[in-house]
Amino acid sequence: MSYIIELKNISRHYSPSVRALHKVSLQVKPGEFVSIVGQSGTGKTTLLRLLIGEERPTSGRIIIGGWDITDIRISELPLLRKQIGVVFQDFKLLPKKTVFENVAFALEVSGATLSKIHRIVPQVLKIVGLDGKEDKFPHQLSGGEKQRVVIARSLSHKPKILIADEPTGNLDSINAQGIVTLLQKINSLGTTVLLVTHDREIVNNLGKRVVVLEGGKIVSDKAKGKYRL
Amino acid sequence: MYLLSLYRIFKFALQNFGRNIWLSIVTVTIIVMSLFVMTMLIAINVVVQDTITNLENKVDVSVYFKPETTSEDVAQIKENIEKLSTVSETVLITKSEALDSFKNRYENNPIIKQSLDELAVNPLGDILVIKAKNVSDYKSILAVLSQEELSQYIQESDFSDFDKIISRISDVSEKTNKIGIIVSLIFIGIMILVVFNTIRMAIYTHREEISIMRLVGASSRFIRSPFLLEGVLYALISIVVVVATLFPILNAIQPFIGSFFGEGSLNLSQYFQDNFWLVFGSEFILISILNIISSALALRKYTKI
Repeated sequence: MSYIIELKNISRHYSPSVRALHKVSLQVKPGEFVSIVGQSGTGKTTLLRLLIGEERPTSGRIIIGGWDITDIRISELPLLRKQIGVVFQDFKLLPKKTVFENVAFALEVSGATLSKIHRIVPQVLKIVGLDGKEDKFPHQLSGGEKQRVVIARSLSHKPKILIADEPTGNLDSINAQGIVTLLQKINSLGTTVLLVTHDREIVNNLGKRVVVLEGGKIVSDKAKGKYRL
Repeated sequence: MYLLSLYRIFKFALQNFGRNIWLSIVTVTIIVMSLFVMTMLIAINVVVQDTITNLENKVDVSVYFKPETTSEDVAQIKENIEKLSTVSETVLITKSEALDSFKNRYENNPIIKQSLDELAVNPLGDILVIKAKNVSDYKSILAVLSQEELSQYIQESDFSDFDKIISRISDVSEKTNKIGIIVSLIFIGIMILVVFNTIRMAIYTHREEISIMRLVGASSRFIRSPFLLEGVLYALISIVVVVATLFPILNAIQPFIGSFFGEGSLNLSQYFQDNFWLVFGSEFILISILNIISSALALRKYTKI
């Protein structure tokens, strides 16, 4: 069986006494929807940072789509990040670019032509329900709309994996549910989704695989899990 | 593909500039002020240099020959003096020309006029005016004139007072040049630090944006290029502002420079027009390079993740 994400005995120690992750192994199949849950400081964010090459593991191997990225070079990071879409709790939108430009930027960095950009951007904005808001700047949008722009941006280059780090953390329950529904829709189209969240209700309603982190280790990994700590 | 990248680099650079207009204005203002300091330093150096050159040009040595020295001897000495590599020019005033000039000068003085009339012969000797190539060269010329064998021809062979004056001028001119270079280097150093930190601050305000660009897969080159181009744009706009404001200012202060240094003193506006590309081209290149280096160094820090 080939995995889209494979972590082999990953450890990330900031110092001998500060161990964010310790000997974590995890396999994710293509098209899976996995929720990673755990209290603050259990290593969830570190895990995501390792997956997008923002940090290097102290030991162990990380393989994404058959590519061993454990010792990835800085020059190879753009290639990795074009394969992984990332949605952040604090949105991370370019403040001086419009909705259209924010989404287009992800395509521009990969050298997409103008005609491709003008074809794809409206499509993804329609998928996330933001058509008609192309010319707005981030400060003119609500939290839920900002998160939709981030999702549209991460979808624009058709990533194999979508990682969502607390995507509903800054949203009210209605907007949060909307975002989760959107993530499910994206997953149903074949994209592997990794959702990191604190939201018990969301995880329990999903009825998908749940991985529980505690003290930098995986303490539970169930195919149709519930949020139990 | 290359043209597309180039188009995007220009587009992002112009967007950055326009959408962060206050930051751009502040950055350009600081660069303009630095360029003004630099241009004023050039102007001051030019004025000082021109004043020193004028002063040096007014210096010459007049050798008064004894009335009994024959014109052949004077011609021989003149020829020997002209052979010195330190001499730029000699002018011979014959004894009759010297007498005419003397008479003209004192034509309203009846006592001198009467004294000259009573003399049957011309009491004046020939005069040889010598100009050196450099003020510092007078020392060696005066040493030649003080030689024993010339004393029989020359009326006054003690040039020690003259030597002191020329040494003083030479000394002042050298010190002024040195002080000018030191002051210029200090100001250029300060200016480089100010511009360097201004650009770093401008990049610092974009650090969050840069990290986002990195996270969505932008390469370092893709992130860096618009910022580097923006640095050149800052330099270009600053130099245009400096040129547009400098000439009216120079034209306004020129009468004061003229009255301070006297008629015929340097026209600064004309100087900057004559050396337009040299001065402003060099300033543009210097500021552009400085901006590019500052941006590249600041960006290195934020494009690592």
